[in-house]
Amino acid sequence: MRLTDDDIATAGELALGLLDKAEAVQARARMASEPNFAAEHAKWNDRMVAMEVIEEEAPSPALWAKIDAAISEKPRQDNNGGNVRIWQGLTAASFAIMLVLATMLWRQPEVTSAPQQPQILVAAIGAEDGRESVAANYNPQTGALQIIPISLETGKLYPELWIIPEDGIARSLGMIDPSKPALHSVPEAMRPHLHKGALFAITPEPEGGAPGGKATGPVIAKGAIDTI
Amino acid sequence: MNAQPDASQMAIARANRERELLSDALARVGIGDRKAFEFLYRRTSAKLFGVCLRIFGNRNEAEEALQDAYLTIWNRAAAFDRDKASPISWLVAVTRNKAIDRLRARDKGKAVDLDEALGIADTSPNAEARLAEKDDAKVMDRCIDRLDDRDANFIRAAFWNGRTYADLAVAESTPLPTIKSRIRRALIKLRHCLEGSE
Repeated sequence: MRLTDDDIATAGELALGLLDKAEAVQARARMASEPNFAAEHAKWNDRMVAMEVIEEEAPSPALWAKIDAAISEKPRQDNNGGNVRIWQGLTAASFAIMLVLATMLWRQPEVTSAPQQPQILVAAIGAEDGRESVAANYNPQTGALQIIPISLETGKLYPELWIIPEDGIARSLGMIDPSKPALHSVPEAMRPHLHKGALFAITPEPEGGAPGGKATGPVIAKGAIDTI
Repeated sequence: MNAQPDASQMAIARANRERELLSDALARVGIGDRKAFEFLYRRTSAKLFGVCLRIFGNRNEAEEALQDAYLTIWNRAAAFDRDKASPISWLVAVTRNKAIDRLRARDKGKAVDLDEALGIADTSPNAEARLAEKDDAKVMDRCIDRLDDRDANFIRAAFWNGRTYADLAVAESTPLPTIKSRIRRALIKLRHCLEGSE
């Protein structure tokens, strides 16, 4: 497909790092499916490097020894531009196993106190390119929602979690912490919306959440609720 | 064509050979060859250190950034595709991205000072360094000349100093959408000039 001027500018903005996180996620997604766009992005890097002469200068001689000592035995084979993520190697299957394990660990205390086991609901909230992903499990009896971020990156913005039931209306469940697992108590009014088939979605939003309860960022990750 | 190759032909041949050498080295690094990694380091660290110095302006931080960059290169070399990119472009892009990440983390929350970014003094091409790509450099210089000076500096500040639209808007006391459309227009103009369709 032929690139328009708009595409050229967007590829340039992406290469120059001018896009905000949400826009960059969308633009990167295009690189996977549009070879012309990806080539244009690569060319922008070359153009910027050609834009000025980089004077060569030797680093201090001690630096090589430091680098040599710091590298792992074998390369980790990171294949994308993001930060190194421990969970990156997870396949869909191991992701599901982890989800179940996390859920079982979380349920442990209840097993002894409550003879009637609650029907736990789970969701794997991810992006199509596998970049952003969060595991969620929900106990409808108590309204406790556990959010386990695996790799969630929203740059200068903050991730907000939404629930979208069959009516298609996104309702905010509040901001989530991208750095560590957390337990949320879902407000009573929201609980009926969290059931099998309803969709979780995450959008990047300004600090404090989407103004007026309307999402401003694109959906960077989503996943349907299911039973285990 | 002379039987005796002229200087620029020899330079082009050298550049091609260098490209092959580095591509081979990267391929071997991708499968964990430490000797190839050392070769690559010896061959490219002065260039990549230059990139880090361009971004940080001091040796200490530049060396930390360079170390980051080579660790990333070690771990990501297998992703290098010699059919799609030149090795030096790939290495510079990885280094630049790591360095900008570090710069942004360091400057998080700090007031923006665009003076250093926009006051780039010396952009005159170094003839010797550019011998192999003399024509490219000429085209680039001509195309940059056709841009508004401020726009050219915005573009440099974004790429080499990690400035965002928001930074530039604040520094210029200009609304963000205005800055954005200015830069987008400048990028399109630069691209058409470079690709000869203008």
